[in-house]
Amino acid sequence: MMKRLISERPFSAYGLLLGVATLALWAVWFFMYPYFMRWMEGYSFFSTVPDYTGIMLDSFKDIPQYIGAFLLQFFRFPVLGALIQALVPVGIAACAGVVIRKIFREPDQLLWAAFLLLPPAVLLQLGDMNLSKTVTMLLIAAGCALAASLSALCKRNFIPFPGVLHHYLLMLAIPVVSVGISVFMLLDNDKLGRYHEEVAHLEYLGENGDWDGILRTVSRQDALRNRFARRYVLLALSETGRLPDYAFSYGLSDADDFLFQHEDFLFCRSFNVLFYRSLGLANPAVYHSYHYALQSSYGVCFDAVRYMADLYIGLKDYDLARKYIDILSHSSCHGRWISRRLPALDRIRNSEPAYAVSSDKFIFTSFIPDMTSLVQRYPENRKYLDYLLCATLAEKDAESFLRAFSQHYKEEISAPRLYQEALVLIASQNPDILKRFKVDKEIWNCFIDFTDLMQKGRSAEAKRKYAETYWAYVY
Amino acid sequence: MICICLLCFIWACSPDVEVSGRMDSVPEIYPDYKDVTVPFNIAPMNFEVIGDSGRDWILNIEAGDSRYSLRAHGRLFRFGRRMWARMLEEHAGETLTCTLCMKDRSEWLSAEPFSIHISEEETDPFIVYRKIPPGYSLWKEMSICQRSLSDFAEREIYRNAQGKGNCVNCHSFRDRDPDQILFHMRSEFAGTYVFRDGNMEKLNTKTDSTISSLVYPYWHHSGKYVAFSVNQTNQVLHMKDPDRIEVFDEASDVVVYDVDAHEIVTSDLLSSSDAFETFPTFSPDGRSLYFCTAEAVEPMPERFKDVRYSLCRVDFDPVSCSLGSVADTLYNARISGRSASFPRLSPDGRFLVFTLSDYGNFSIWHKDADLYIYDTESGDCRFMDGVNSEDVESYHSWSSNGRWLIFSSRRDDGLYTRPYMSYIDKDGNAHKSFLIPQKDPAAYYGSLMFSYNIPEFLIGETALDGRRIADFAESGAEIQVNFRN
Repeated sequence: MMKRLISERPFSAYGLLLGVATLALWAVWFFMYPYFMRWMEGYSFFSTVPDYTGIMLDSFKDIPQYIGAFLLQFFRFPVLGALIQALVPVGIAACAGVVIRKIFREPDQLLWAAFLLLPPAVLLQLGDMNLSKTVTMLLIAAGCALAASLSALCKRNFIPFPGVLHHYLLMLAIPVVSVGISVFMLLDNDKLGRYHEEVAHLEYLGENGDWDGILRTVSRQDALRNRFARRYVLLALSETGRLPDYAFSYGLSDADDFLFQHEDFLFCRSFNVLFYRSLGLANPAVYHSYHYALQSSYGVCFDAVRYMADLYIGLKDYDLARKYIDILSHSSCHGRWISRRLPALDRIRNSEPAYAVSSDKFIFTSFIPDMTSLVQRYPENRKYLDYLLCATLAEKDAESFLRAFSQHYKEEISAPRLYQEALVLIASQNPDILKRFKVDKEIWNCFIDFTDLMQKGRSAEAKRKYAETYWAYVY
Repeated sequence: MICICLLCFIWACSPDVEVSGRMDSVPEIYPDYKDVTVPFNIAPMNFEVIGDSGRDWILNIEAGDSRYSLRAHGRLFRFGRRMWARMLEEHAGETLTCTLCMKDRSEWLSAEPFSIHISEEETDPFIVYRKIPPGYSLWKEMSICQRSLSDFAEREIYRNAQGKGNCVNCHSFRDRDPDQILFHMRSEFAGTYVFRDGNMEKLNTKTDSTISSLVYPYWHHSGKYVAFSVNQTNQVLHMKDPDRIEVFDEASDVVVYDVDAHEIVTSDLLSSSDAFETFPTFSPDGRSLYFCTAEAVEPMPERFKDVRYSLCRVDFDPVSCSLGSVADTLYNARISGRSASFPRLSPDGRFLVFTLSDYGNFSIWHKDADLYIYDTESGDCRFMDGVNSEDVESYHSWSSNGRWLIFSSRRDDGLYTRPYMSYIDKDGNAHKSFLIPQKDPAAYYGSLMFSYNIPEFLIGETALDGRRIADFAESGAEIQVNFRN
């Protein structure tokens, strides 16, 4: 049937194959990279405000990036994003088809050649965060198609092609192979691998406060392998109050594992925003939002503007919240997002901004001193205390742990599991501390069993049996 | 032409409505141009009524025997440029009485009138500022721009994207002269760029005898010298505070750069290791150098709140390029308890405006920063009522006739600095300040994600352009600046 279709109605067959290619590419993007496409939207920026337009369209060469920025807005909806990602290479192939039909003899038999452009076009899409390369190629292809159409007004179908290339099998094989190669490249690519999709997924869950979703998604192996997964799962543990029970189950090994203090790659800043937002520290959250925006090729990005709008609503800073919401209102896909925030914005219209009182200034240095400062000022805040205690345990700094612990835990209170395990370990050097703090008998028994196994030289078994304990981390 | 005719038509045919009552409340406008004093050569001061959308608004203006009326576009009052200019020229020295009228159902209600006083003293025709996101240690887009004050035209003198995205900062003009400018570039093509009468120089200002490259500049009126600070500056982030960041010096000195000899000189008084000296400013007669100085404290940043700068003056001999050995203290931080920065003298040398904040020197990030004026004749120092707000007021500069002060303020939203101007009368009293006009100020400033940094007046248009700067930065020969012992 396909042979008949290709032989008798080659142009229809060509159209059908373009449709199949579109569907295949759309399906790969939509099912494999939905969160990455959302992230691409968040990392891009488009606005009709004059100042931004002036900067974006400074010269002729900026046009592809401007068009790309416009298209990226729709990646907020993966269905549309996948469609755009599929249509761009297919559109390039379609333009090539126009050129073939206008300038080659017996063109309908040669339309398969248009599909040869599909894999390079897809290759170009990989890592093209702002779509400028793909839009450039699409514009060039459209320009060639237009030129061929105009030249056809004078002379058309003037280039002969060897008859052997007019074979129906080529019309079937080349498109299928091209689509196959394109799909393979999308699935097996370092730049756009599953890694980024995984991180983008975690970012999405974190932004939506789905902490249990993160804990379900991230396994212990994921946390050990993927530094983003490790940080997200530790954040999720903190948010659900389980950090002092499971921190070392997910590969916590130093204070740097809680956030990105010294790294500045993609996804790092947005994680830091989430981290500080969860701690209720608006100032560093704004700081990281701002630096996140600067990493984008636009110097500003939707995610950062949305973060800042939400942060300022939280701070009851009406002027700045309204500013960022106004800026977003000059884009194409934020109608619902804005309408959901308008009631909150209206509520803070006449409020005094809720910034901290400036009488007690304290500055950022590094994680443990920062948490120490926060615990001193906000002793009732459990998150700060857990971060401090877990960080000192990760650093194996028993003295600092004991100092912070003893200030906030009284002897009659049963401390979380990891803290008790740490106390037991410290007690092996300093038994007196057990007079001051309560340790569950069950934990004592486990520790005796653990040390027994260790002393018998069966450390592998001990670590396997007590993999989630602090002792396994220390030894 | 069609637009001009249309504007004239709109102005001429503006409605003459019959007002039947008074409004219950006084409508607020943005920018707040109520009861301000403006130069007669200022651009149309378009403004918007805050709130109450969907109503008709009319502005009636009375000036002497003349009456004008303007209907709002929505809530925006947009004046025709030629009519505005003619109105201000005809009524220079007079006061415009402005009455807002609102249509409530079928009747028109009027608000309490406000006034705009038109000063006969003109402002310099241009200002130059850097537009930069209100950021921290990183940057992306920034530009040094020139803005005409009699209309809305803005031109980028240099956009960092024209180079390699490098940071450009500390633009400074000799006595508002558009042909004598310097600025620094950091990162790519780092150096100090001096543009004098058509020639450009690129300076490497690092020397073994100074603690850093040259930083905060101020030209001597002769154009032969520029006073600079050299600073070891750092930045930290506040954990929980309305002030977001703290920028502080760990060491700083003041030096004088000889423009022709490419040499730096200093004195023990200005480069003491026991003190942080910064923000030098020459007096208009060129015989004094003003600067800020604080007792050096350690360790930093832990003791950043203990650094308070006094304002001092030292003699300067422009013939020998030598500095006096005794400093007069104009503002004593140890006694007064606050910290001075950015001294700027009026062109007649009588008034010195400076910023006072609770501590430190980077007052632009201190919400408590306000402008003060010091009378060099009487020694009086006072708070500038007309210019200060509850938020930051900081960098400021004088117009060439000494009647206008431009300064940056964060009062609009607490974050983005905007350029405000204020009339300073002969007794040093600051009149209520006003935001630099825009075609549609609420839309423009509302959506603008850049701050205005270091606003400076210019007496003419600068010929400098970005392409030339970028080309020179890439290929121009570098001159090494030497330290003169």
